[in-house]
Amino acid sequence: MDAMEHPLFYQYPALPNSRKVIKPILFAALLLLLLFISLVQPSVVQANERQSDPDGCLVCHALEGLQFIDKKGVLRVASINKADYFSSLHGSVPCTDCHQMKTYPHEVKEGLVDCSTECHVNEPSKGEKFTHKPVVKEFLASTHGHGRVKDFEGGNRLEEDAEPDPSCRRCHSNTPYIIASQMEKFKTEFEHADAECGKCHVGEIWMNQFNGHILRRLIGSRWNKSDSNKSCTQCHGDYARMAKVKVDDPNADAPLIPAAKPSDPPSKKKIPVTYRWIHAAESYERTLHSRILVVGEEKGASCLDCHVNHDEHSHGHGILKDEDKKAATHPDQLNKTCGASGCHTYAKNSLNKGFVKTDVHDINQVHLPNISAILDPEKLTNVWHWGSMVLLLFAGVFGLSSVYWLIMVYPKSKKTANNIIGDERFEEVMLGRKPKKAPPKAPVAAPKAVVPPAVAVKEVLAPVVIDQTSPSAVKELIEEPSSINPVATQRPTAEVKTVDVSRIAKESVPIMPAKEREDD
Amino acid sequence: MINRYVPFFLGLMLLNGVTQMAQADAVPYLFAQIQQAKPDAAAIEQAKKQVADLKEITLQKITLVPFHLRKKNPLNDSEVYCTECHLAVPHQKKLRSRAFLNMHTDYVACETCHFRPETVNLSYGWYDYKKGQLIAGSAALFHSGRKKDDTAAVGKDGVSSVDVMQERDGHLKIVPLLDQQAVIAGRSHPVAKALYQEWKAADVTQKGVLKAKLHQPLKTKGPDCKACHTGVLSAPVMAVDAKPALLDFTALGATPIQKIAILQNTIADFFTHYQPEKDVVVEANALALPHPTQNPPKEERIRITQFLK
Repeated sequence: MDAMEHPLFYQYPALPNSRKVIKPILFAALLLLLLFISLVQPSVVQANERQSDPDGCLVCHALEGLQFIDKKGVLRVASINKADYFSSLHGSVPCTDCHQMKTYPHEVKEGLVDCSTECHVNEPSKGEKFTHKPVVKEFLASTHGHGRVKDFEGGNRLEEDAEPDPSCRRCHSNTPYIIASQMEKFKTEFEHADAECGKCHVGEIWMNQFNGHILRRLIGSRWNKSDSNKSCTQCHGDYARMAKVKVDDPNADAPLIPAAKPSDPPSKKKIPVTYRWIHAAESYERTLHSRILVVGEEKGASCLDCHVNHDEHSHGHGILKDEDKKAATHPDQLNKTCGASGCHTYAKNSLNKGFVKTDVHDINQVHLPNISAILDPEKLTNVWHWGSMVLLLFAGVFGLSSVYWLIMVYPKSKKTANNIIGDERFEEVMLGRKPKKAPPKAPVAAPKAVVPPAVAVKEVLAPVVIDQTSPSAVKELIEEPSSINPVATQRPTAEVKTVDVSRIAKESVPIMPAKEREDD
Repeated sequence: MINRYVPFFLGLMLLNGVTQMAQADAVPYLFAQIQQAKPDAAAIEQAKKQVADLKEITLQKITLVPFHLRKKNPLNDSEVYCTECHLAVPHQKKLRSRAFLNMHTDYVACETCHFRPETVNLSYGWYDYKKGQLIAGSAALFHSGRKKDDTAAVGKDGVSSVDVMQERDGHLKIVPLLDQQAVIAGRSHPVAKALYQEWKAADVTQKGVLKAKLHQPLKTKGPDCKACHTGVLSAPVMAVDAKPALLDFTALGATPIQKIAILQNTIADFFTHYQPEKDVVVEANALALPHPTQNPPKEERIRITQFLK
């Protein structure tokens, strides 16, 4: 084998005769060019790449299936959906603006992201580098920001999941600018703008500015209040988790605990939160503020509407605890908060003191967890409940007594109708006194003969004419009442009394003696 | 006319059925090797110890929404026999390559890399785990998915890469063949099921023996990246002394362009510039929760074992 045939001797093709073969060579070059273009294969992408991936991260990270299980048992997936990223809010931001990778395998430290960093995207109005620093500053000063351990660096997800204070990632993720449900609307608006406005505003620049800057934000805006509540209830709706929260003792006289380092100021003792605090999400759900939102109307009040200061410098992340004087829910600020534009504007007047005292997180609206909660003043604070319990107690006493009477006393009593009704009987039995004589009255015509009815007659006697003037007849009348007046029931053998017969009517209608009797 | 040929067709069908049945019942070569395996005492001891020291990880479920949208729903339940214990993402210890190796489990069976006996010459082909039989290779099976997006992208070969991606849920894989027969079997094969029953019924000692037998024909370490990605850019393009790639991509159905793309894969080339990889003994995790003794544990061999159903 000579040198020409050795495999390491790369054999170039012989140079052709330039005159004869220029055309075929050009033709071949053209073919090669076409082949090259077809190899590159530009495919249709959902969003054109807004940045060129200068560090080539997507060479690996766009591959599917890059995943592993780490030591803590969390499945880690490193495959990024390229099309989704480029159509997301951060699509213009190269990977290394947030992730500072320097080595491979990537160090954990390198993967941490600080959301307050400046990125290389220039904000168009001021020409400055865009950054989330003002938001971060407000968040750090808020009630969610203090006590953060990692200072805005996203890290091991398992740790972050268990952390009490939220990281940025807890509530925010990198969503597409236009979500799928808004895409149709966006396309319609885009075409309309293109067709109508495009008649005069010709050119890419204007269309990009209008569609990219304005229309995208107009249509893309996707937070309705119901959705924004969901990011709060992620933690605040988990009552078991909320029960573990401890806050500074708001009591001014609470003893202070010296800090670990002598140079630091002492801190207040931490006490667990109240039941009302824990179940704030539940009590909110019962109010109209929430129920209006649930049915899809935007007129209700979301968590952020009340708990975030809405002055012009606010970035929406500064939720302070209620005891803080600057908090939107502090009693001093409530007039302003409730009176915000579009809400209860009359509350702006600070003379409306009663309105702002309404308890929006009324724990009495929340279902009691168990029956013993009735006696827990933390769970049931309404004085009506406590009052009704006292009334129930009395009602119980009276009710039981009635039951007792019904069972033990009433059966033994004489169940007669005339126990109560019936002139001197009433007097004797109920009032317990001797019936008084009736006063004299104008003479009455002699009564007709009393004809005893056919039933219940012991002795059928001849009709007796009552002799008005004969006391003995009257005596008879009284002594043997059953023979004369069969309707009369058993009478106690009372003292024989002479009665003015004239006062006895034909029918045994009860007559109350109006005046004193003469004989007494 | 038809009547004359009916018995012929019937006979054909019968033959087909008999062959299929025979094929189905035939013990695949790998399992035959496992059955005949005679692990030495040291291996058995080690296996017993591993079974006894087994430290199981249960996958943690977290509620944190990921910041970036990921590309695939992971942990598709694979039919590959090894995934019964080792799950569909088995590689864990080598930091540099574990993610990429786990990516390969989508289209390469475990046995392709880990079962390379010296005594026989294996070839490779595509296998459909759902149907339990070999299929012909095609260019559509070689789409990497890197240019994939949600809208249809019709590739040069006329096959939409989206279709292939959607179809590829892990049931089509490259497996080793012996005499055009698959040497492996899926989890639902009777041989595999019989082994599983044997495992369930075994006590710790017997499990150790069985584990040693299972792994005796296999190699712990798979081949180097260069075994398949042979034509890396740093090497001469037409080196005559280069070993042929482990997989014959043309026979597997790849077009020449796809074959070159695989052979000269950039990422595989990266790895040739690195020192050989070492196993991770202690993963230095700056965010790890503070250890009670302030010292991280020296050695932790953690095996991921799915709860055997």
